[in-house]
Amino acid sequence: MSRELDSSSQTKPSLTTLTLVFAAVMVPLAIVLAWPRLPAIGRPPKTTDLASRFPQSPLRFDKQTIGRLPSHPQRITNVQVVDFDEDGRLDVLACDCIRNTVWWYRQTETNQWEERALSAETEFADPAHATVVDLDADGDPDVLVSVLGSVWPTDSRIGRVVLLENSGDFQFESRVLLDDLRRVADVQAGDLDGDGDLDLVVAEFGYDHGRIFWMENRGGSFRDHEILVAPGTVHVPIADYDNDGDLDIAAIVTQEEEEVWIFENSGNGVFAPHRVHFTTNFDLGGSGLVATDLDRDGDQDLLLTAGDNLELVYHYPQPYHGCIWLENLGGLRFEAKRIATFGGTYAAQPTDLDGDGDTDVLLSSMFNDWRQPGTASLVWLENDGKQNFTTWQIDDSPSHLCTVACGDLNQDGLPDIVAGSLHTHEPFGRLGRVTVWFSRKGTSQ
Amino acid sequence: MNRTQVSLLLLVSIEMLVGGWAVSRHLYRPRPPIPDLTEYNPYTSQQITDLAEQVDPDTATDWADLADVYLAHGLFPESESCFRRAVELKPRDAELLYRWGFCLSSMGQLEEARQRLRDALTAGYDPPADCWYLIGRTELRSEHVEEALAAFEQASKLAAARFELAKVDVRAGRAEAGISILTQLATELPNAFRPHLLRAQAEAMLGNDSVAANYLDLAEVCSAQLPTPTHEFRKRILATLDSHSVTELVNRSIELLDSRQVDQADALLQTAVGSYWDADVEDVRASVELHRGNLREHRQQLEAIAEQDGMDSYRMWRIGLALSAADQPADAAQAHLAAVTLNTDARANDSLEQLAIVYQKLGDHQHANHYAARFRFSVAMQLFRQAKLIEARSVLRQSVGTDDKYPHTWFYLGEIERYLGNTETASGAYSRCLELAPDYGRAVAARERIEK
Repeated sequence: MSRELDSSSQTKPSLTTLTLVFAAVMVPLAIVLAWPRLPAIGRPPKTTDLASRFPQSPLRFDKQTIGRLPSHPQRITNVQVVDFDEDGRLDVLACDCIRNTVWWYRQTETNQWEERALSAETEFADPAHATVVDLDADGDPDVLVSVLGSVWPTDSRIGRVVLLENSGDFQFESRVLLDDLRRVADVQAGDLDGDGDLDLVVAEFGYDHGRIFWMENRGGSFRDHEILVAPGTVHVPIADYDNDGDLDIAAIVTQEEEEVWIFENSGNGVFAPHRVHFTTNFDLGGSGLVATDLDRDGDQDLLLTAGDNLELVYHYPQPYHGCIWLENLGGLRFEAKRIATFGGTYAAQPTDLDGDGDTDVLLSSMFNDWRQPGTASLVWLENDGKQNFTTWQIDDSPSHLCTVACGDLNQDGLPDIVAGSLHTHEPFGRLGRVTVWFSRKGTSQ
Repeated sequence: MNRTQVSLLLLVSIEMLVGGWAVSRHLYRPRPPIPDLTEYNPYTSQQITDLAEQVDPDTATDWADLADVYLAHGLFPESESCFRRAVELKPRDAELLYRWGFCLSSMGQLEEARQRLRDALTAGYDPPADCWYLIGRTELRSEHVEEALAAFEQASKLAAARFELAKVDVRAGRAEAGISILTQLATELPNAFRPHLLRAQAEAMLGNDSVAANYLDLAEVCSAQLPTPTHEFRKRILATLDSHSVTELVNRSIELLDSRQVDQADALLQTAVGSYWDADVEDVRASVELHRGNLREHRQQLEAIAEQDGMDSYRMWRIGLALSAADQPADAAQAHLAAVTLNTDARANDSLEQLAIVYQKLGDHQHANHYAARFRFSVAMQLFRQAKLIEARSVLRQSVGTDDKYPHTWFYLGEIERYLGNTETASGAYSRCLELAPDYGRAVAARERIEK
């Protein structure tokens, strides 16, 4: 019996051995079984941040909202600084696509803002631009309204040219000058046929189809004459681009092509087309055109802003967004010079912001990457006097700044800035409506 | 410890070391990025977060599907990083490479986008023409015209690529070469407007102004887009967006309302969105009140939406319908008039029809006829834009038969007759238009064109 026991104890593995065998089998088995159930706790793959940020501006500003404070996304498409009632104090006009009106923010003697709608809410929809002009030559300012009809893309004939006619006491009557148009983005006034009255030029943006035409003033009624058939005209600034004493028309066409045209006034309402700037980059995102003598050499240059892309449904700042200076070389030749790269650039306003005697440029962004903290919505380009520019960030909030204007609102000798927010796409974290940045004396340096 | 035990111990130790190392590596594999969406609609935000949390970090298609959702919501950097990870897991997947390339091109990362698209071609992307077309477009964005031309030549199976070739020709002043391509495109896709617009440019360059004008006319009544791979991709992304956003919730609620499950629709909206304000959701909530027969609440809800998000023809039209249902025809007429004046979308046309009905009800036959004529005009315009000229003319004739004082009706009658080659009738229609509106510029120009 004892021998049997002895022999069995010799062949039977010890507990240690069994445990080790068990472990040797179980460790890989456990790993194999657990493998598919193991969570991923590693870092997410690195994301690229292409949002635009710049060094903080050495100039200082005090920010203030004028009019109602925004509690939900607003849609301001245009702001202008103008002494509307000619009382010596600058006022602000704002086109509002939520309330479907043009607001007049009148500055009172005590520098308060009185808000007044120039039209009822149901007279037109989605005003894109307001131009103050005494169209009927009766000595008071009227307002020309470019009616988009919808800020969203459509080719429907929902645009209009509307005149808010001043009855003399700043009561306004709405008069449709032309309808059955696709979306109208801009209307400018000038004596285009040299007969002493004001004619109009219209940017019928549309979507797939569009036009540029001028409206001949025929003693109060207007006859439209086609200049160019092309979709996507944003702005049509009028100036004497060839220095020959009459008014020409510039236009930025953006939808199918990205180009800038000058329509040279040949007299008697005839305009010769010249394409003065063009890029094969159909995605440039041209968003605005401003006439200005940037280098102060006595001719009209142009500032082209680019930043309006609809990448699928949402936008993303592109490396070619920013501001291009089209320097007038004479003879309707323009040389393109990039003066800023800034994602989602939508509006430009030339002004001597630092008071050093040259022209700086304000830029606002509609489509920076607003999810990223600190991304710039308002910047200025400091001119060193030789048209070399340094970009300074003024603010990152509010976001979606579609329009910017400038003027000495508080009469302290320094230019102040007004901008409007067009919140069309999320995120809606940095809401704004009509915002003013008052210049402060001195710099932060 | 005997030799066997030592060996076993060694084995277990090695297993644990290697296993631990492998487990640790596996545990620390990348997890999907979850963007900060606190400033977004909470329903959409939740949908996106849920999807990101469900991603199997070892499955390339899961990463790519998440990338699509991010792309649809404009979360481009996160989308790009997900595509990158998907391709790490399946490096030879041509479809993934193509999608990653598309995402990079949306972010303006053009050189890298082209590289990924070329990788997709190497991996056998089918159809290769789609890849070449996108490469060509990114080359254009980089202002590399020669490279773009080479890519479009490779993609010349696609009408859109040939259109780009024609465009480059026309831009370079080679109008005849452009016209030769455009003629073929017009045969293949007669209803696409872009080739006609470009043809007009080319003909104008050659001094053929009247031919150019004819092509502009043709473009005006053509509404089709040129089919492109970009459009297909966009369609897919939009469908993704619809299925992962408030739109999905709105669509589900409308389905419930259509099947008379009003309380369920209301509950769904309430639980999903809570107190977050969204115009589309509020619009369905207004419909909930309508289905419950609460006309006043329905109207108040619509007015509240307009207060926050602005008034448009659609909202005014709905308010007008609510007022009609509440037997307040005079107020309904005011609402529909406002919808027509605002004229923001096709609902303005529906309000024209409603105005004809409401004024008939009020016994105002003159106004009823006027709006019935205007409604017919709007119907005719839809037909005109679809190039259904005979049908459009018939409706316009009915319109002027009811009210002949609307100049636009006469102008478009003139246009249609001119398109149909009936110049004398066209001229007569333009003249009637100009009697009503002497400065109607397009009518003046069109009549002069006929006289020439």
